[in-house]
Amino acid sequence: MIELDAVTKRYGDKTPVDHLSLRIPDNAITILIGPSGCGKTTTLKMINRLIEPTGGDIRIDGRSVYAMDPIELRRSIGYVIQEIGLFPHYTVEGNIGVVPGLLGWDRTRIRRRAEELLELVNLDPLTYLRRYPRELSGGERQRVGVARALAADPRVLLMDEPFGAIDPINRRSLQDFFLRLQSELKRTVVFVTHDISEAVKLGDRIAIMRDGRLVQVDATHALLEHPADAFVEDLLGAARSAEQLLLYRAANYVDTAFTVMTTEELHRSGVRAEAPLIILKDGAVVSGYVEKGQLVTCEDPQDAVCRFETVSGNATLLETVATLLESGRKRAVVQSPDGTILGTLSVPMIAEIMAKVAR
Amino acid sequence: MNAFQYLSRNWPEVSAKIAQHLGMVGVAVVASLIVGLVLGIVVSRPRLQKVGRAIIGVTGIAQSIPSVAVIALMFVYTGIGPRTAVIALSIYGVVPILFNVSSALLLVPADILEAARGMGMTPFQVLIQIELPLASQSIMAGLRTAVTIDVSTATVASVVGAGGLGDIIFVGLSAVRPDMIIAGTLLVASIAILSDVVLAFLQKSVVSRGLSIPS
Amino acid sequence: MVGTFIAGYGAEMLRRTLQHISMVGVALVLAASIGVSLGVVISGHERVARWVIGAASVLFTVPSLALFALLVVALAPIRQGTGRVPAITALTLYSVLPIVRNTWVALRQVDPSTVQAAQGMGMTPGQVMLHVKLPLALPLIMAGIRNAAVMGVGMATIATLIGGGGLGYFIFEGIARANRSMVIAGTIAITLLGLAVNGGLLLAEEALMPERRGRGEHRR
Repeated sequence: MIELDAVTKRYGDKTPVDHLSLRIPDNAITILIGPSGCGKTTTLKMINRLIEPTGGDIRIDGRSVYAMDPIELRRSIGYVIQEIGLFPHYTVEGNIGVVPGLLGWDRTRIRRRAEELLELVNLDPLTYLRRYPRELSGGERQRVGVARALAADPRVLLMDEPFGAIDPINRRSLQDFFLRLQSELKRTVVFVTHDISEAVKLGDRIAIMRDGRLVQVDATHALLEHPADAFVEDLLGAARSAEQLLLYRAANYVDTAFTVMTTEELHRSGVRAEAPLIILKDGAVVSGYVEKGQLVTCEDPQDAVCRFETVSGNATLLETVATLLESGRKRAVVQSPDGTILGTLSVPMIAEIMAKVAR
Repeated sequence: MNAFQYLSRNWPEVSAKIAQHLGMVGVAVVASLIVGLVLGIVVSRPRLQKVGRAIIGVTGIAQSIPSVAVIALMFVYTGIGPRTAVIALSIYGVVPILFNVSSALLLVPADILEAARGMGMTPFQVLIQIELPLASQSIMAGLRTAVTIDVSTATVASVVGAGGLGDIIFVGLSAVRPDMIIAGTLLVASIAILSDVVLAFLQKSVVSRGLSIPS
Repeated sequence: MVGTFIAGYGAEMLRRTLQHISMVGVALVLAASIGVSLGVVISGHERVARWVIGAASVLFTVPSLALFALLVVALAPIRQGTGRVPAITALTLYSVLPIVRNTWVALRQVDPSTVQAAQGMGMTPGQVMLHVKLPLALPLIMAGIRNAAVMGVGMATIATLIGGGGLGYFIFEGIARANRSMVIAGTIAITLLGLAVNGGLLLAEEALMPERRGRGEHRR
């Protein structure tokens, strides 16, 4: 976990960051967002000490960053900026290998790591290892930039508007790509953006800043449902409209009230009135679900088992609705790529969410 | 007598002149390179950037001063001899090198420097691994210019008794000996062209491929 | 001491300054005509262009004294071996490279869509060159001419050695006579002339092209 403790930055009579305290949880994407000049980039750069604060402390897993050598600190954190800053005189392999090189890895290990990372970001190593940045398209450069930041396998990633310079169409696919990556790698990501749609799409938690101070910080869906004041409402603006909401990730809106049982356990459990939603999972296979309270009305538990649709956690609410309507099923079971069941969604649920959040 | 006869008959003296000429240019270029590089690096550091831009302005103007004038001025202080020429050439050669080194270093894109810092490179590593390689094209060009000017100016330096191939040309001019003139000019021209070709080749091998790919 | 020198030789310095300027001036006009025309001619042909510029670059590398001296020998048969003719010829040959190169690069850099728009309006290639390409390439071409002029002032210093006159006289005579003031006076005069030529041409550029955006200083 990264803890920002009353962090302050002062330049003469300007205070870009004013006693900011924030907890950034592990293995999730925390967004820093706010109007121009709110201090989000300054805050980000204080985490890897590119900017030194005037006051307060920043701790990573309990250790203050000021107790560490800044150079070593930066080598252990991945850093991606908007222009990427790929080194034009190094090949893709050379670029990815920079931090490993600084850390003393040998050439073979670096080459293997570069191949691994290129595959991870969907670029064929054979083609791309020896290319130079000038030969790459914008989207390819961005992906190499992310691969470079991941080279030394850092637990923390700092990203400063990394997709800002890309056109909207490619930005969408880069965002989707990043979500897939994150669900596989599960890093602690601090992500600065000024684009509220991007914030809601990518963020697990959103921290809203203004004039150097924290205005509100919460999980994404909580923030959308309960904006703290008119400023936040305004900022969330279009993100709270019904159409926008449909684009957001299923994983953030699932109904998490369920228990998991095997089919055998279901038959043994008998009739229970207060049974919550039951999801049947035998080994790795999800075979069905039983609606809350349904067990009571059926003689044979097997009759209560319903068929469902599987939906990825990264799918949008819109895709979930479409899948459900097409298949005629009542519920979708939302799973992460590694098979973990995150929860369920139904069309009435989604409609309710939209009603609650929309203006 | 034609030029080739002259050369074959006087080869020992001629080769001595060639050696003198190359020696003068060589020493001067090395000195200019060291001074120009160090000054250029110092002057492009973030805190000294205002000084840096001022120096670039000054060197821009300094390039208006003809090389011959520098030799003449040096003569005023150190008199006759190769030492005068070498000092003058060294000073004069600093100008194109310093200009190229400092302007190229100042042109390194800020985002690349930020990415390098952010990844955990020490300032020294940033200079050696990022800034200098990215400026290498320009630095090599400055070096080539310095060498070309030096070879040319060293020819004229014979008027201050510096020796070198200029001697042959001057004697040829005053004694009206076309064979000497042609011999001298051909030799000097060949050296100039050859050194430029060698440096061009060096430039190609030193500068990273990634920098010359058309975007 | 330098002051007394200038006072004493004032008239002579003025005379030689004018000689110097006229040498460089004539050479510049010739080089500009040749250089720009050549640049225009090769602008459409990549291969020929590289050849021409390559040849001019080689010429440029040859030490100035050598070229001056060669011309002395070459022009001797027609009794033009000394004096202004070989001097101006050499200066012209040197000045051609920066001008041709800048012209060629400048014409290549003209935005293709502007050219296409002009062609679409029905202009002939000649009209496109005259009314669209050259005007747009003018800043860079002028920079090349200015560069050549300043270089020429420096190189003309040597012209005195082959009888071409000019301010170089004071430098070489000063060395021969071990007269420091003479050398210093000559150096200052040439440097000031170089700066004046640079400044003067810059003003002329501003006057001719007030709508130019940015400064586009191209030194090489």
